[in-house]
Amino acid sequence: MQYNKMKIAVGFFVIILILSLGIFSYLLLDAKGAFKKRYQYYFITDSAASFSIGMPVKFSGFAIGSIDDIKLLNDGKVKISLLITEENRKWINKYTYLLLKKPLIGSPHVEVLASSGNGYLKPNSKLPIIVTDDINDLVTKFEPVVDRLLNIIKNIEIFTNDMVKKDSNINKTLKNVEVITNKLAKSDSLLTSITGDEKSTKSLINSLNEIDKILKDISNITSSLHKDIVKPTSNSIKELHSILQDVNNKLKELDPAIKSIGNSGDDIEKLKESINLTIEKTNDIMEKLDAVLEDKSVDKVELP
Amino acid sequence: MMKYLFVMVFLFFSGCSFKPSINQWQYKSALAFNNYKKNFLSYKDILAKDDLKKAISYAKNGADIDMLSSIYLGKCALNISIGIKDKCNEYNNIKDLVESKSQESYYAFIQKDFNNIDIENLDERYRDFAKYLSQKDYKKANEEIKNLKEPTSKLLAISLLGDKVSKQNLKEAIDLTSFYGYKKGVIYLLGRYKTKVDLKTKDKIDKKIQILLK
Repeated sequence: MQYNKMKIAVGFFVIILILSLGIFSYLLLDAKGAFKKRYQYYFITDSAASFSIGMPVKFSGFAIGSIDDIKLLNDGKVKISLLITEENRKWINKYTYLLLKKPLIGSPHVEVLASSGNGYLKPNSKLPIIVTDDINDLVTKFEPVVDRLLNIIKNIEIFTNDMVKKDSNINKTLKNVEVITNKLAKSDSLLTSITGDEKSTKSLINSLNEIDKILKDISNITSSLHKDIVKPTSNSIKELHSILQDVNNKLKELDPAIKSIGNSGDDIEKLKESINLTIEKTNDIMEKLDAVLEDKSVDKVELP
Repeated sequence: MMKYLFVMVFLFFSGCSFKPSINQWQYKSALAFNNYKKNFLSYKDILAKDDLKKAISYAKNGADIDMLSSIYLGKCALNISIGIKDKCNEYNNIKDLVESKSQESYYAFIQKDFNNIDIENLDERYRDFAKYLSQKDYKKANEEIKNLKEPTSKLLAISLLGDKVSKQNLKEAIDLTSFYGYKKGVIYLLGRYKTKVDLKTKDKIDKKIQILLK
């Protein structure tokens, strides 16, 4: 009797489980639009490249259908069928265009270009399609830039070839510049042309010679100073510096030692306190242990 | 498994139900003094000193002068029991503050001040012994020593009886204190015992004492 009751309970449980799973599946599929009516359209293209079954058909970024079938026709062209959901059928009319977008970033998809309010296009009707290729567009835009770059490179090549030739204009110009600079270097005509008077030029040159002499004298004096006075003084200062550095280092070494001596008294006090505390606590534990181990508790002193 | 569970539950309940008494100082002081007695007689002087210090300290924590005087009196009696002359100065310093006739009688007893002993207030163990000792009835006093079961009591009585103690009592007391491991008591008793034996035995006892003291 008990066993039969259990069997009925298990049966109910299994039935409820199956029903629950069924309802859940139905609701899931319904939410995904599996039971909604769809309308089929198609378009013809030269190649099936970039297309795939299940590829979304989008309108204003929303998926309104998907590619259902791809077939190769006898003339070499490709027939691609697509399914559009019932509520979005309004976007498919006689003015509708399809646009295959192949963006640089992201997967390719079919975009619907249309406006509503123009009636419905009959199912299984053909739709026009435009293919846009972002990569190729980019290449097309870059083509003139590349041409210009190639021209610049050609010009540079011509220029360098010209430089190599001895009788080229550039080489002639450079030779002329060389001659002029040599002349300037050999004569004081430039200085005369600047001052406007030959005497001034000579006096200027004499002054410069005098300055040169003075500078030599100064050099001699400083060299003797270096030998007689500066060098020993410098040595003494160096020694003094090294002594001071040594003293400074030793003071630095002494400083922590002095500090530690100053602190050691406090440290010892703290250590002593810690040890005392530890001993007190240990004693307390030992006494408790003694009290536990003692077979009888006495609260009076037993005299001998 | 069930057994361990039962033990754990039992320990848990025991732990929860156990509450230490408030007058812990009293128990700790008494315990420390008992330990002092044992350690003192066992020649464990460092431990004994510490125990006595603790006993006094706890008695002072409780501001119990009565207990403190008991400790001082006990210390004094213990010294006397192993032949150390002690006038119980610590007790004398505070005895005015204590109104304990039993302590006064005990003090008079250990000081052999028989004129001041109030036998009725003396510890029951020593009543007859004190009576016979005061009457100088040494034979009966020796008989009374035999009735003392505690080694410390026996030691004290033997010490108080002095030279009048019987050889037999000494021998029995040596065995008893030895059984308890009271080395200091044994050495004292051996010292007393050797005065009652012939020279040959005396030498042996001396040798024994030397060995024990090493």
